[in-house]
Amino acid sequence: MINIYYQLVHSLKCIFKDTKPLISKILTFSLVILVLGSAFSDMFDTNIEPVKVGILNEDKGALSTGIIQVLEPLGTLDPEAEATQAEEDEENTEDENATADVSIGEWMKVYNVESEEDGRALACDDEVADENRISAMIHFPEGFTDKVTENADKSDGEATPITIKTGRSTQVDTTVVKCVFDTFTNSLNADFAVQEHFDGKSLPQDLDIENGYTQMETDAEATPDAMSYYAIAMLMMVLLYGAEYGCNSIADDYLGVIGERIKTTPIKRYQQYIGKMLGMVIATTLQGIFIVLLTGLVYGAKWGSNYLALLAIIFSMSAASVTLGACLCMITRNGARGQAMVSLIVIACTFLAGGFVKMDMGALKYISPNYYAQTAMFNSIYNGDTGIALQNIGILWLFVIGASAIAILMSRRKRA
Amino acid sequence: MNIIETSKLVKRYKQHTAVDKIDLDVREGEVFGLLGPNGAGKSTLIGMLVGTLKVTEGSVRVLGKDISRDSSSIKQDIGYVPQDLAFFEKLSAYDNVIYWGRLYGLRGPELKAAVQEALEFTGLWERRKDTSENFSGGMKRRLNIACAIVHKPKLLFMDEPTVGVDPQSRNSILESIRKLNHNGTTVIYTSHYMEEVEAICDRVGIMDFGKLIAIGTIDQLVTETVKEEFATIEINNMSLQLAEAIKRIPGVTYCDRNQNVLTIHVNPEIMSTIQLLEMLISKRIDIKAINVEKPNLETVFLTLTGKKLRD
Repeated sequence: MINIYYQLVHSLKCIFKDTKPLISKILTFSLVILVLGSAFSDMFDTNIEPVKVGILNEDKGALSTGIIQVLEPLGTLDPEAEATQAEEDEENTEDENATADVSIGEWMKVYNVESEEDGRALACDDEVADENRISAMIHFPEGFTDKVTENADKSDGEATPITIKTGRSTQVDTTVVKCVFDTFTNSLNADFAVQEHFDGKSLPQDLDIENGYTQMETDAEATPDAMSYYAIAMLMMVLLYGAEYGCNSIADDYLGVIGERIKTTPIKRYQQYIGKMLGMVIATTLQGIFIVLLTGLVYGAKWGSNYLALLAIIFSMSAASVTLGACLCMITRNGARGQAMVSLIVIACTFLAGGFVKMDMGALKYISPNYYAQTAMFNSIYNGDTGIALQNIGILWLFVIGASAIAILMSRRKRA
Repeated sequence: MNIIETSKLVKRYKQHTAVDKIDLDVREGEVFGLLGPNGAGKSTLIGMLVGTLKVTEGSVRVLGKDISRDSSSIKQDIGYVPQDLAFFEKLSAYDNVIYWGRLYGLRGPELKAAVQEALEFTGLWERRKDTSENFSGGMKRRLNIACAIVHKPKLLFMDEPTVGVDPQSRNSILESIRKLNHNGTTVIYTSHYMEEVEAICDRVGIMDFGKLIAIGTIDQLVTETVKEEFATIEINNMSLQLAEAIKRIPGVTYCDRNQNVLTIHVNPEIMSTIQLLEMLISKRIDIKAINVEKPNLETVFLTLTGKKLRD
């Protein structure tokens, strides 16, 4: 055991004493996260499609009904409906929209919602098809019309709120809803004021409708913004570069002159292997933690609150990377060749997992260990789903076992 | 007492026999030189002696123990200085020697004392905190040795430990080896530098084509192996006819002409070099310079293998 510990310490010492490549690597990735996070923030937020908004009318009064008529709802959305429901509704009312309210229709598609629960489900539930998902719900509470009328008769009347609840929408979606609806209610208030003026009544200072924005209560947080997404994606890439340590270590300590020299000492090979591998996994994990702290504190990337899960994912991914490097070196039986393969694989795996550009690579993504670590991380941070996180951590450890087994088999083949 | 004993030792790689039925005895306390041209099987033999290569046939006993059974305990008492540098260049000299000391089971104050002793012995104590990648070639060689002797081995294998170092560092390394040997360490030394082997080795074994073709002290090898005398003679107005005439003199076994210089081998049982020179003078041959060579290890090696040691 003590021999394993000393190998571990030695491994850490070798990595952290060689400061130049370490600093260069961390700085490079910190900059890459900053550049990608800033450059692609629009891509993450922009939705060229009109924003879907639900309307829940519990008032049924003249005012709310009038407002809703202006907004031209396309139909009623059901959270359990098929993905095509909204599309069909849109097609059926396409012509009407074209002549009715072109300006609002360009930005917002409005649908009726049966209840607050339905609205919340349409905005937040995972099961809802993307085509049916709404970004916000406009809620006319019971007695809305009466309250506006009552307030209009008072000299110190308060503004009557329309509640607009935003869901798991992107910042752009939310901004669109706010802009459109603020503009809309402002015009409405202006109309009231003009009417009051021509009716000869004095203009009460606070007679108006205001929009009360709230975030819907949901188990999940918002989807990641660009900075948070790339912080995770690049963290995976940094961790996958741990494969370089695994490859170098095998090249030096097994295939190289130091390896031959170590064979003349009494230390057992398994002690050396376990100690060195653990050291490199810990070194890679520490680099990952540094990236998490840096991006969390400086760039404001979201890392959730389950730090134990976060650490477990980083450690598991580090283990997968280091053993992958060791395995590649053992297969190629050449440090330089192994290193070249590692460089290619790191880029390829990051790409397949959507690390550079957020896209779904289909079944190909499953060959990338980054995908499993990323999935575990996104589920842990944004969905609070530790079950899926654990499942993906398990897959990473299966990967570790597989890569180690191949490395051991290849080493035995050489001896034979 | 023999510290190494091999019997009919064979190492085969498929069809190729790298070491072929070697019987070798190395005595405790001696410096044993192992010589041979490239590909002779020296490294393979050493690999089997230090336990990194499996023996195909035969037996090896090191420090009185069978290498196939007691590999671990044998490794505890042997040191190995490989031809290539086997340390971590990004670490300091101190950290490197600490690492190797721990591999041999040294711990705590015992380890620290041993590291200091090894670094002082190799003259690196003052530079112990420096990163070893900044060392000169000679210092790196000395650090290579410090890493191998930190655990005070009874038997030390040194595989060309002076390759690529300046003469001053080489002398320092050779002096260290003498000191180590004086302190009781048996040394197995391989080198391509004949003068090093002559300077420090008590006995020498010569390998070629996987076989041990000669073994003994340098004097024994010279006496037993070299049966001829060697001379180079520079003659004014040298002609082809004259060279041919000298070649036909009884006792001259070899005569090679290079412009005005003749390289001559003489069998002393028929004619000594002196008698040959007297004969040439009596024939009024215009001799400009004479160099009579004393047979040495290089001559032995050349005679036995047909190659120069550095070929």
